[in-house]
Amino acid sequence: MKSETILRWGVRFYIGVFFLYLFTPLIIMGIATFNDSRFPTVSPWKGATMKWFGVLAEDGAMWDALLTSVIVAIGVLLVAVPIGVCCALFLSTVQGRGKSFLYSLMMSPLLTPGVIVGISTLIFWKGLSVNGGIVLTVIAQTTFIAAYVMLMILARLQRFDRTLEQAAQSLGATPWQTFRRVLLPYLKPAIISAAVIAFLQSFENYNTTLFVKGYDTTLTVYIASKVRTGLTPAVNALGLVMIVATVLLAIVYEVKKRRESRVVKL
Amino acid sequence: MDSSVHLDNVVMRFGHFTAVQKTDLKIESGEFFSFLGPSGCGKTTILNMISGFLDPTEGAVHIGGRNMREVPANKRPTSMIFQNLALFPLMTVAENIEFGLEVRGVKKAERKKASDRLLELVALQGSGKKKVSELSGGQKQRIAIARALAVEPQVLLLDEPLSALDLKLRQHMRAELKEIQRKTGITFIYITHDQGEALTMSDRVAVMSAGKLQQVADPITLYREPATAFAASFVGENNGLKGTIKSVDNGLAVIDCGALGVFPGKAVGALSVGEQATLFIRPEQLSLDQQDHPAKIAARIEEINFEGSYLTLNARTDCSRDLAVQISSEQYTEALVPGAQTTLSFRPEDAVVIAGGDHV
Repeated sequence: MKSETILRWGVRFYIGVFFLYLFTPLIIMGIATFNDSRFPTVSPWKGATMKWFGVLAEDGAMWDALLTSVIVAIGVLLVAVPIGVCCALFLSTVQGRGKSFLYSLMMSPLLTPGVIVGISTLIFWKGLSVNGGIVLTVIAQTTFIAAYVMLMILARLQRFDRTLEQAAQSLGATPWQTFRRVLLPYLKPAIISAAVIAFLQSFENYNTTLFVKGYDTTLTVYIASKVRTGLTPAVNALGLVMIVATVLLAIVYEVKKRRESRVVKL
Repeated sequence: MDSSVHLDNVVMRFGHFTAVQKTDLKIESGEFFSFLGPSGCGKTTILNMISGFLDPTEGAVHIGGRNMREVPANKRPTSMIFQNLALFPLMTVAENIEFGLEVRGVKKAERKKASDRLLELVALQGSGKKKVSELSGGQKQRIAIARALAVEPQVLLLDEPLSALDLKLRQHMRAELKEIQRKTGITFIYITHDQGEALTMSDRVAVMSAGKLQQVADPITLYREPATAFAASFVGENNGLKGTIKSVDNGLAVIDCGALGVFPGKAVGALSVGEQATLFIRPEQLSLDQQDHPAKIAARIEEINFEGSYLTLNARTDCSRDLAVQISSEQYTEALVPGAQTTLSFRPEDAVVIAGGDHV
């Protein structure tokens, strides 16, 4: 009994430390937004202010970078998700050498350092007279984000009951109808999660993007470049806005999901 | 409409493994036909060849007189009920039933009419809007039947569909399946390892073992006149006594079972003197202390089980061979106690002698 109690408290302690470790930087960053100091810091505290939100609103270059990031992320999502889904479907149906070849091919960009993916993409496309920019950024990021998508879809496919496909066929459905009415609805949650992950992976990417961005600076690259010239708490303001937006979205999603699962139970 | 199924010398091989040996079989229009055998005997492979999920290595499947080679599963006039039922979990009950019509482009109103009619047929009126997960095992079973019938197949294929149900429900569903088959007149091809299911529902049963058809017959013939040692031991309870053929005369074979004795029995197929064979005698054909029967075995009663209308006994011969005996309750006397000596006997025409039988 006693060792169990110790274990329980140990786990609680660990979880507490874990969350502290996870959230303390975010909290400090958030508080620093309101510090009337030229530097993004909480000490010394120079008095509360809201002015960094104003500075943020007026920083045109940063809004451009944010827009670029969103465009790139949507582009990656639109390209990487179909590729990842197709590869996963293909891998789940074929056997033998072709299978392991495709799997290794898809996984290798994921295991390659992002810098190398960026540089090699640039060199390759330069040879074809394609210069850095939004298009090349989408291409470079897709090479490894498609692999994430594939892994997520594969995981869901592994639990798919293949007799459902046979049942659909036996009822007269063509392969396309079987896919659209049986397999696709089953994969839908995984596809949505994969799309979200693809978007976020693209949005936060720095090391690959740095080499292929051309003149189209993304948000991460912009913030990093500002580190050299001197960051102001306007960056913290941006961070805070994003955190609040993310949390709100997560809450909306959770509430919606709970409501749906309650309907199913009835 | 001709909805017969003809397996025209089909063979199915997977690499070096022959799952189904050369089989030629005709299943009649409107027949309730079962394939009965232990798991791995090739019966599911046969079903998959009829449904179109597998193409036979040799030979062809004809349905309604039409060669089905090159006809994919979704274009065949068959529909299948799967062992795990394979209901679409993300669709409602009505959507499941209407699926086959939907993919054929049938209008919504007509589909609704069809699903309502089928729900009535399987006695689940008004459950169309339910989710599949809200149904009980027996209800799911009936929805699977309704879904398969919705496409108005000529042939319905059933792959052990009752195996997941509990005993009581299984017995109930047997009667229901038989009733649906009678109402619709569709050819039913039923796969099972449960001889009770095969015998109670089928017009004819094909007993299979190791990819080979052992016997195709109606249930009564199958029970009374097994054609192979496998059929004799797999269908129903049977006592198999191995021995050597001593003589064959006028349909009656005499078999020497060593220490047990020498017995006469009906000869099945061609038997030759000196051949290894097995004498099969059903538990209910063995009588206790009937002196006028020519075949007698002395034994001691080991165990008595009262089953209601009948009793099952376990009797051990002098050479330690256990025999199952079944007698009706009226034959029970106080003298029947464990340890009592008795003489088991049978009429030669009630026993069969079949060549082989090593696996008995």
